[in-house]
Amino acid sequence: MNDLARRWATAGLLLALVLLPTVASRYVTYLVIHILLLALNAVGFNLLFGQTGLLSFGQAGFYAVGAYTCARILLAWPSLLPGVLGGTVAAALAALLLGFLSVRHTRIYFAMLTLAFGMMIFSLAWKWRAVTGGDDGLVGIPRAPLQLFGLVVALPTVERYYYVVLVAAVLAVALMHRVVHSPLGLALRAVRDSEVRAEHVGLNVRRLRLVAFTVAGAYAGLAGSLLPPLENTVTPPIAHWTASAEPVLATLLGGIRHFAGPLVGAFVLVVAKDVIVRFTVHWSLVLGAVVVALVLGFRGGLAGALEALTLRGARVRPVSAAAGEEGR
Amino acid sequence: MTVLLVARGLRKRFGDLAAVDGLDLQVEEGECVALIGPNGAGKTTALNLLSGHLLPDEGHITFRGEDITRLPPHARVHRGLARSFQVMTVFPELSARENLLVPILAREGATRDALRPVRVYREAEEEADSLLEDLGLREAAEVPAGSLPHGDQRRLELGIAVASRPRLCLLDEPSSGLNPLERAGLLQLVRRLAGQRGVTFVVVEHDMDVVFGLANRVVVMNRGRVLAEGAPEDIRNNPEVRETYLGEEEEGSC
Repeated sequence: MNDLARRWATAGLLLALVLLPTVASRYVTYLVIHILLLALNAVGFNLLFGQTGLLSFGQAGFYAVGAYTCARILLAWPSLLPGVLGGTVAAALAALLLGFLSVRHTRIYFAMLTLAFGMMIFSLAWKWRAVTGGDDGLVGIPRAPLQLFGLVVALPTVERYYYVVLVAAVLAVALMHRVVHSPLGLALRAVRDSEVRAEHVGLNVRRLRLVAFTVAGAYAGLAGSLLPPLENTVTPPIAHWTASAEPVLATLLGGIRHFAGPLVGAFVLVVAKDVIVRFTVHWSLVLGAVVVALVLGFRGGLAGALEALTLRGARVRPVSAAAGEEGR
Repeated sequence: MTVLLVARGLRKRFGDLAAVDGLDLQVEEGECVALIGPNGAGKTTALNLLSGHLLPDEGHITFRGEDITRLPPHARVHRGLARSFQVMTVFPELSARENLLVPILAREGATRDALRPVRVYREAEEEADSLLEDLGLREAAEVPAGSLPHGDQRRLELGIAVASRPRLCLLDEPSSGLNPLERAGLLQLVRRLAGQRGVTFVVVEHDMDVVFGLANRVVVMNRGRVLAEGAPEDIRNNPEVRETYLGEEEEGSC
């Protein structure tokens, strides 16, 4: 029953996402692209946070590495796939390198290191004029056509590009679903629960953390490299540490113990921001208050609350005492 | 008898205190060695050095002919050297079955698999279930380990240590915090696992009933080194041991 309901919900959501551009306005479609990008970033982040117990404040750095790399590739070679793949790989490599230096630390030390590395990438974006365009950023990035197996699909409209992002997001989220439920995913949860114990049952804790960090970086990079073809520009603020807070907030809002948590959180965060901006220039104040209220009101996150609601308390996962002290 | 483990001249200092100060130890296959001694004798530190949780300042450890002195813990586990902890360290948010699956999958090198669901590893799951049965935790298979009663967690802790199929398993006070009845049960469990799985045990223990009921050799530590060793009966009658440890224990046990 439980599984069946989840399958129907997934199918319904996918159908709605496929039909969206045919019924929604261009602006809504554009907004949903941003939801998908944040969802990708947050899903990767939660492999690190909810699954492995590492809080990273540097995901915007990898997002930016993806975005700038993709932009440079598209400016030189207007073909979408090399740009997106190149951006993703570059972000993964950056995460592998910085992760190698970070994963020996945990908790606040790890969080601070990732924050610092993220800000280093931000200053690179700001100062390395020859490559990044400095504070002007990179402009005139083409929404290059998708070339696949000799097929050339032009992407003149936001609606068409939406489908590219949707396919990428669905594939990446499905892949993450497999990773989370694999033996590797179980090993990562063991590392989260007890680092010492994990080491003493034969797990190479540092290597597992590095794997999680690299995958999270790749997801941030994929999200980032899907941005320049949409906006046609890339500017340094996307690398700022305040941008790193977005996947963190989305994940906390949605619930770190649920696979769908980061997805639900990304939706709520983007929509809430869009609505609040219409009413007040102090939108970040209101948004912050809303986030605080939601996080305090739904301790297991919105996904947890939704599940409890749909299952009518039939079978609610016990929330252990440790749920409150994450990021060890 | 083949020699499993040899430690020579192990030394570990914490500031001014030499917790382990020239420890020599040899363990042979099939033995059950009890490591006893008064508080602060260095028993737990010795276990931490042998398992790789701490690195020694001096000395060497050889396991099955290989120098493992500087190997990290996970590499020692893969060579057949596992341990349990005195302070409870199960994986609290994983179910009891998952707690056993982790060492089993790690042993098989399956934790590299990122794409297939855990349930395709049927043999690993069956092995975990049969071990749960041995531990008397079948009913608790799906319960998060952190919400199990203390006695169940202690048995699970033991199960995690043997699930990696070690040749040598180090147990740090496996019965701490248990009542006499649970203690006897745990004792029996260790004995059964030793027989079934051919595991050699080194057990750090305070409880003399456990020690004399389980071990066929007793090593007494004091001030970071070995004070005496021998068969349980000899140790019981050794005047030096009685003075430094057993006598003290009798007074304290009331």
